[in-house]
Amino acid sequence: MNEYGHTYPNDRYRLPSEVQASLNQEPKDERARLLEVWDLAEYALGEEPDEAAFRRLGSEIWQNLEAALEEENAPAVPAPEPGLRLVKAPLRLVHSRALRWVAVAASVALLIAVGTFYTQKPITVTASTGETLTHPLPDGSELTLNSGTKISYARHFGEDDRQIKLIRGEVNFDVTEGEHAFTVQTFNGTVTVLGTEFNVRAWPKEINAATEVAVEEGIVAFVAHRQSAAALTLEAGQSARLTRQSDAPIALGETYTRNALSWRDGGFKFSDHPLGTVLDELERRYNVRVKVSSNISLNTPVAILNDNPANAEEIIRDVCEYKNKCQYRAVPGGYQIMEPAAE
Amino acid sequence: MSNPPAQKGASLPSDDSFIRWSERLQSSDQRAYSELFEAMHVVLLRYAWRFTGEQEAARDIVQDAFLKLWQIRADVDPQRSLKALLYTMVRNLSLNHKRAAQHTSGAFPEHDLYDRAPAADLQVEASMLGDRLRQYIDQMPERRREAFMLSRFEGLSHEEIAQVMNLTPRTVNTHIVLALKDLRNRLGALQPDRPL
Repeated sequence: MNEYGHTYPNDRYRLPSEVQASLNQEPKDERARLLEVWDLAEYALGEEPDEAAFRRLGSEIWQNLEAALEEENAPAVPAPEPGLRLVKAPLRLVHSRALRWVAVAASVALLIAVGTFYTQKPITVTASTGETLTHPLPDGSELTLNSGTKISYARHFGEDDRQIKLIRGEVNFDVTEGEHAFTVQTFNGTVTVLGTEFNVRAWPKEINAATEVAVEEGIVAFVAHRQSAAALTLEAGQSARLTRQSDAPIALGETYTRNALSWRDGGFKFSDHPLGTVLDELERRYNVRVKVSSNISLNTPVAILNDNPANAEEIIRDVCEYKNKCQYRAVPGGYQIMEPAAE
Repeated sequence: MSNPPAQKGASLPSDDSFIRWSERLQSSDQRAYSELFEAMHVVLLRYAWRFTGEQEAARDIVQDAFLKLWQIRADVDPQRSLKALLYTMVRNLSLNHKRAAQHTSGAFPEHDLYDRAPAADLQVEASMLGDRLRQYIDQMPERRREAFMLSRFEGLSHEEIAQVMNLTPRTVNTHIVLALKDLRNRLGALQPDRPL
């Protein structure tokens, strides 16, 4: 209770002392009315989303902020040697993140301080470079993550919805039928299904970055975040690509679908991608680095169709054979691709 | 007349907490950043929502504000209110968003700060009052309205409002007192028989 007989459930909304001081010049009745008006003003707010809605938005934001911090924590890419271009491999992030989590888990004080928040933190799953990872979900669906891929989903996955965020990378989905639609969000689009097998590839930092979807079984709907067009429906065997610049996904051929699904069985197949993309993939898959001399364009399209490569070198050899005009050599930690020596 | 609807939001952290967060942010303390986000994201999202009426816009605005805060963390001055800084960033981003929305649609967005249906669970009398109050607040001069709202609905101190709106605390007080008298006169004029 204050001196005027009003209660304030929360000090935050109390009449500020400066205003109160000004009101002291008013007659007592008038002062009481002004104070009542201050209280009544609350009604002007009308209906607002509840706190839970804002907390959900908050956990989305935090996920993105954390990703941004993580990028910043990554060691700077060393300057390339003269005449060489370094194909960027965003690999070591994974380890620094893991260490940070060990520290977090160890700190009980922190858990108390921000405990309520971390229980709302989404679960993130990352496949290290050089490995693929199979990850079961609470609803019985199964994800296979290609090397270097990072996804996240809510701790309450399956309760209200089944939403997966593909932060970067490529995932093969084997979705069990369920009450809620299963959705996959990438940096520029959303894929929705009810129960099916499909593949989503979305590396936001790749050359010509795009979200690519290939369907093995069932039907999925694929829609751009920039929703100017209706969703594209894809059936078994069909696939589509949504580039960063476009407003709607564009259908791709069945060859693409077959190639897109091959990685899970150890294949390395690209028939329609620039050299830079293929080399990024190679770096992640085999945890190697590939340097490319600056006079080779990373935008050149290449076709690599290898069902079961034994190692990275086999693919590099394929690349150079395909291009028919490059040489490679092993260097510490990876390979170097260059123009052929003058004849 | 029923009681006003439940007050929204728990009390905010103390000024001291904000000062400590400022200092820790300056030294790139990510834990401080996380604590600050946890403490402030709901009130800031609600504030942005009150501007835009869109949850997604509010989300983008608050995210941009926190990204920006991390970028400028080295320059955060613990002597100035970090809370007011966050409100300032969210306010400016919200205003930009509103301007952009007006620009692209060629018209005012349907939703404005108080252009909302009243809460369904209020009594009829109360919701009529709500409609009137919204209308009166909307018709105030822009600066007066904003100072009043930051004080009444966001719970900011005069100093914080002064920092957000780039005014002196004294002017802030004048705006709020005038806003209150304005509302009182208009509500009084509406119900001459009934003492307020």
